[in-house]
Amino acid sequence: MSDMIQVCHAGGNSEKEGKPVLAGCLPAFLRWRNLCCALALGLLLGAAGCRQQGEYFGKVDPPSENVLRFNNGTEPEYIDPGLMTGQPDGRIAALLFEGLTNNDPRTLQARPGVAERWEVSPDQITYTFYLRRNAVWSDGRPVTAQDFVYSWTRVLDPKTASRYASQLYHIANAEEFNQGRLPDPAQLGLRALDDHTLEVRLRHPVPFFLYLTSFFTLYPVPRRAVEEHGAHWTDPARIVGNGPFLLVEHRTHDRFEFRRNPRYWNAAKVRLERIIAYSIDDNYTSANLYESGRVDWLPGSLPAEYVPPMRGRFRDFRSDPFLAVYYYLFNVTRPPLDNPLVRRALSMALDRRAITDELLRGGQIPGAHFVPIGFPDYHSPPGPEYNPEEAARLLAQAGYPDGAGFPRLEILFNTLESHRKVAETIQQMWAKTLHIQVALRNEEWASYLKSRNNLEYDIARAGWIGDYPDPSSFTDLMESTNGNNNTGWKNLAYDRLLDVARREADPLRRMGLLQQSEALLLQDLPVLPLYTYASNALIKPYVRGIYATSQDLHPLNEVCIDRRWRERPGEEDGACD
Amino acid sequence: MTKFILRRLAVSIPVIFLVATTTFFIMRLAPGGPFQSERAIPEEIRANLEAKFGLDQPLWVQYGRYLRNLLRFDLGPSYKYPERTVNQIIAEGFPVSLQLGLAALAFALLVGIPGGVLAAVKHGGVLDRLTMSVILVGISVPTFVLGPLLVFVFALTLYWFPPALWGAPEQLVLPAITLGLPYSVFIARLTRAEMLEVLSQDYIRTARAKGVGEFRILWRHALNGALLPVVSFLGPAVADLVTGSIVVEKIFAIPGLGRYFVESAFSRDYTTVLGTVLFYAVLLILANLVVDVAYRFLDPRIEY
Repeated sequence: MSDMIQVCHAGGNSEKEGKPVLAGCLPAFLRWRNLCCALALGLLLGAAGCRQQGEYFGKVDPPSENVLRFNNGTEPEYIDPGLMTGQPDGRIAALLFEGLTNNDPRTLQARPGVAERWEVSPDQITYTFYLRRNAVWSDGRPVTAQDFVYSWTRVLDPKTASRYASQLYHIANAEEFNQGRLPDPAQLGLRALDDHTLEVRLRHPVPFFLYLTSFFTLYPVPRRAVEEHGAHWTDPARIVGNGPFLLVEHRTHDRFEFRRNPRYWNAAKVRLERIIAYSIDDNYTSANLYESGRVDWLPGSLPAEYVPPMRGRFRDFRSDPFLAVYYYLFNVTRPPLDNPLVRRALSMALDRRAITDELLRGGQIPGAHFVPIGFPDYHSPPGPEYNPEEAARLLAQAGYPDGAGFPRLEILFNTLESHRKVAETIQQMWAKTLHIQVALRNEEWASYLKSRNNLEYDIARAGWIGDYPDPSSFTDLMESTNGNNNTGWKNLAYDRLLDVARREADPLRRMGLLQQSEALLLQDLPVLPLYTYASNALIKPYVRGIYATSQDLHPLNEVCIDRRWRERPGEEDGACD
Repeated sequence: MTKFILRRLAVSIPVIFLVATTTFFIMRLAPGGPFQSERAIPEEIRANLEAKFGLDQPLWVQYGRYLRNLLRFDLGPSYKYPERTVNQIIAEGFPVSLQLGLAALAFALLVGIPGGVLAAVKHGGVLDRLTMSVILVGISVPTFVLGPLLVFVFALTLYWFPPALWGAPEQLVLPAITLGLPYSVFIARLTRAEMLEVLSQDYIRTARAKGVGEFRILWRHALNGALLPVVSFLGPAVADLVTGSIVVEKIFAIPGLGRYFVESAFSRDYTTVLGTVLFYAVLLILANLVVDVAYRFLDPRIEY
């Protein structure tokens, strides 16, 4: 894009002066260089020396107002909760809207939101929600049961083309309606019994349904505004919400500004006057802003190499595992990966602890199981852990003793430095333990997704963040009809187990069935799980009410700024007044 | 002159049409599409999504519709940010890029021209060598090194300026210097070279012989001639500064237009790619036209 090179030539007409510019200034440059270098170096060293001696990273001066400033990461694609899919989008929506339930900030347990109470039928199929009468939209209209019927039907309407419509598939007939097999929305398991009573009929018991009703896809949207302004109803001047905050300003790739919504039913509990959410996608810039005291909270957006030295060094650094798994996919339609022995050998040849504790050092938890660590009622069956001798034996048994005759496979990953590092380490481990060679292939995001979906790869990187705190958010992925399976693996016994689990109303027996299904997955190994993710965050000590949660989800309704934090350090919550 | 401007504008219409056409078709050669996501979506939904944006139509129909909308200056909705139109994105991002570009240009001129003149006047002296040494450093340090270095020293150590963000005047300083420094270096070199040549011309000697003061000679007689190449450099430089600031925008979290050139290509945001490329093309054409007109004022000998 830059035409710098032409400019360089144009400016280099030094023959006019009789001698080349470079030769003319070189001796002087050399003499000056020493001085300049010494000066610059001194400045840098001095600067480095006097920085970061405290127990916190950068400045810790609370803002003068009751305002929370955080970096939300990349620019959200949508503000419309029915259409959004991303985590940054979700953080914005959670400030502007509220579902039937909301989440306890510590445990993420469902608490009453727009619904003040609910009843569940004994077969766990029918939910009746009783909406509170003081829940209103920001334009003053009450939030009604009809609003939910409208909003959910809108998400499921094929014409809306919402990418997250499947979040509502647990509702009776929803999948059929969304995929055009059932044209009449009246047949959906949704009914407004009156203005303040909503009845939802599910297609099977869903133990986490009350969590789903707090998820952004199930937020209500203001019918009038949507119908009046179409795609642009979310402009700050037009948007109508029912959440704890109101959108004041939105500057693309810059910031969202919110102020407290006085009409929110629980406004008395909301302690922040304002929130500024920056959309800064560069992690270094984001860390600089935190360091200079202009941002109070960085959920995530930290450069990977900052994490190891920060761990245990700064008190405002937090690292917590969350429900997400980093894994590789095997294309089981291609030999030799169609052989389970080969897949098992490849898995057992990997020292996952070396990858997480020596290479990444970001708090990740190594593991050969597919469902990540962090579900209180669920424990994964053991996976094929590191065992180099057994790995070599299995590979020999599969017909490749000492790697002889093993074809050269390829690891596909989307372009990112940390993915490359992991792939290189795995490449070396396989070469060392199994004496096989694999090549690396990186593609930028869109091309990588296409290759993955079309099974145009041997081994591919993948990652998955759980949508709801239930192991089925992970086990469902590998069902043969699931669009994210992406391996060519089809196992009818696995599908059957998941299906039985879905119909099971007893929570304990259900977890047992999910465990069985994961055991089957780890037996067959169409995937190569590597580790459970960790979320790394920086949070100023004066911010109270943001807790470590398994979903990396942080409701901000009750967050506050504690100006007297020095008198009570180390407390996450507590009064701010 | 008017005839010249009109002729140039007329010629630029097929150029813009060519740019639009080439970009439209080249973009479609890239694998994947705007609605590809890691999470698989049912085929029906993808089909509906594509239908919503007209991507289910044959390519030539899409192309025809794009051109028709282009005649009404309607660049369509962004595929990546469907709640916003490309017109909105440009309207929001361009003033930011323009401010940043102009600030950088002002810095480049304020530093570059006096630097170049000084070096030429003190030709061979310490000042000349000092300026040329600084220039050498300035050329060698790329933006992605200079930016973080300035942030480190002035924002995170001395706390004089904010490390990033946009809106307040003090937030303009570091990015403008980062973006402007390489340009100031070129301007200084250009000015110095031209100045040296002009100062050896006969008319300068005549002026000196007539007893004109040294300052007046530099200011009135020499600089005018020496600035011609600088002016011709300014045309592409302005367009480049205004739209080519992606690295600086990223380092300083500036919500300008530069980022869209790269990011929209990666996310296959076809309409945004087209919109920004076309906008850039128009900007370049206009910048070059302005330079040619300015040339004429600076040097009446130039004919069209």
